[in-house]
Amino acid sequence: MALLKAKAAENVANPASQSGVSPASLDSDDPMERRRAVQQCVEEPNPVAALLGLLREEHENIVRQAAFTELAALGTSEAAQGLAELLSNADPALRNGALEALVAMPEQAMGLLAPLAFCDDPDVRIFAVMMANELPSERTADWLIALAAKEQDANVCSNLAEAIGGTGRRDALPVLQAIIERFPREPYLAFAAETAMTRIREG
Amino acid sequence: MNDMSRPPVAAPPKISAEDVVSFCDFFYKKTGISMDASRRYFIDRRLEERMAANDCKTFREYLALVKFQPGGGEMQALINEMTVNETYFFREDYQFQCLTRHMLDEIADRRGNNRAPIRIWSVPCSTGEEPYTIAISILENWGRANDFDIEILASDIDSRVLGRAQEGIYEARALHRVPTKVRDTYFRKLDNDRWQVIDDLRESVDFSLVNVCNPTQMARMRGIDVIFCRNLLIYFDDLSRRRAAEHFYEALNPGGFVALGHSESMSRISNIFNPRKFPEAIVHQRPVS
Ligand SMILES: C[S@@+](CC[C@H](N)C(=O)[O-])C[C@H]1O[C@@H](n2cnc3c(N)ncnc32)[C@H](O)[C@@H]1O
Repeated sequence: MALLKAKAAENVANPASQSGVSPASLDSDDPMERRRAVQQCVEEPNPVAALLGLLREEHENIVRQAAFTELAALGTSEAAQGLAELLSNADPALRNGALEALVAMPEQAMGLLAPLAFCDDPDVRIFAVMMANELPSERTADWLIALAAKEQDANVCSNLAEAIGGTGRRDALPVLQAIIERFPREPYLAFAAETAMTRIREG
Repeated sequence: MNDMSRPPVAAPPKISAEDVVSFCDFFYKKTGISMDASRRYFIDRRLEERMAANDCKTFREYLALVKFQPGGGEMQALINEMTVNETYFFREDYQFQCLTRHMLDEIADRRGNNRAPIRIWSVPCSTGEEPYTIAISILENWGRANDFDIEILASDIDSRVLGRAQEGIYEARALHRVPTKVRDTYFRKLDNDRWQVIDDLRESVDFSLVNVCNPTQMARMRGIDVIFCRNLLIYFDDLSRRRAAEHFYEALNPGGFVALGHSESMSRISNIFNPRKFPEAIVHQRPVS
């Protein structure tokens, strides 16, 4: 049984490769080094601006994800605000990344819901609904129901119906019924709202 | 005897709601483990025990000890109290089948003529059932085991469980999922109730104290081919999960795999890994290039 070797930990320990030891460059061709540079960005005087600027230029997923994680770790309202702005970016990977990072900073993300409901861009409102869906609480349920009561965009409403279905809130039933009546020519929406109503009634 | 004449009984140290919040915040920053008020009873009891053990009269005094004690002994004692260490042999064994039927072959094929050791890391390993299961599965079920050096690393944040893992002594009922033939090959009977993992196997697993939220400790783990990280991330919040996923990415060789517990989903944590669907399990792969 000689195949298994011990002392692995010493073999792997290689202090020279420890991250954060030497300064890394954002201009490097090696994505792993750019990633390390991103992680060092937080030491800069204005890390949020640096990280957001980088996100707009960087295309390698592994580097972008590190920037999102650092923004979430900063956890400031400024970081949340910057991420919210990315929700309307043309690049879907940036929009999704921003959404995931916001979900990882729940306190700040909750605070953004109210203003996002007033955003003109229905795509951003959809992201806000998806975000609320990932942050289950009475507060987010209230927000979803309030938005559903006035939302005029069919796609946003279909996302709202799905999210509200998961809240189990019976006071949402009239709001869902009103969605069906608001869009008589959208059978898929009636289906989504009815499914949500059934979920709530059976839940 | 009326109440007034009773000798004074030492009241248990009082821990306020704010104390618990500040403790949870501190503990989360240290360990990634996010504890909420629903576990208040559990938290209070453990804290009271540790305060009494250290003769601390106030929670503040105790927190100062935990934070500033040279050597961090009390921090470690507290971690040992707060962790949930439940584990068993051949837990979610389809993942070990996946390891010996698919993942290892893929890793071995990619090695080509390079005979660098294959490194497998069980983190968290708790009392050792998982890394020993991995070792046994490989020895029993991977036909190419003799062609490679295989290193099994096993880590946990809890020093007490690591001691027990190294000792490798288990009660008979802990072995109920272990087939008799396997038990008789890899364990020796100590007495009616206890079995010990044979020395060869115990010595082949490298146990170490690692907190997956500690960047310095994680930076030491490199060149790994497969990470089993099961039933840990459920205790973390989203941010700690993301960070852990990023540390794992760096620890892995390109093309290396992460296996999570069945209730843990990488797609909800991060998209830096590619999902790989094998017949037995879905695992998460660091892209090859
Ligand atoms: C439920 S056990 C899981 C054991 C095994 N992986 C399994 O699935 O059966 C969870 C373990 O995670 C360890 N743990 C908790 N936080 C940790 C951290 N930040 N780093 C490393 N281990 C940690 C605990 O000490 C505990 O032993």
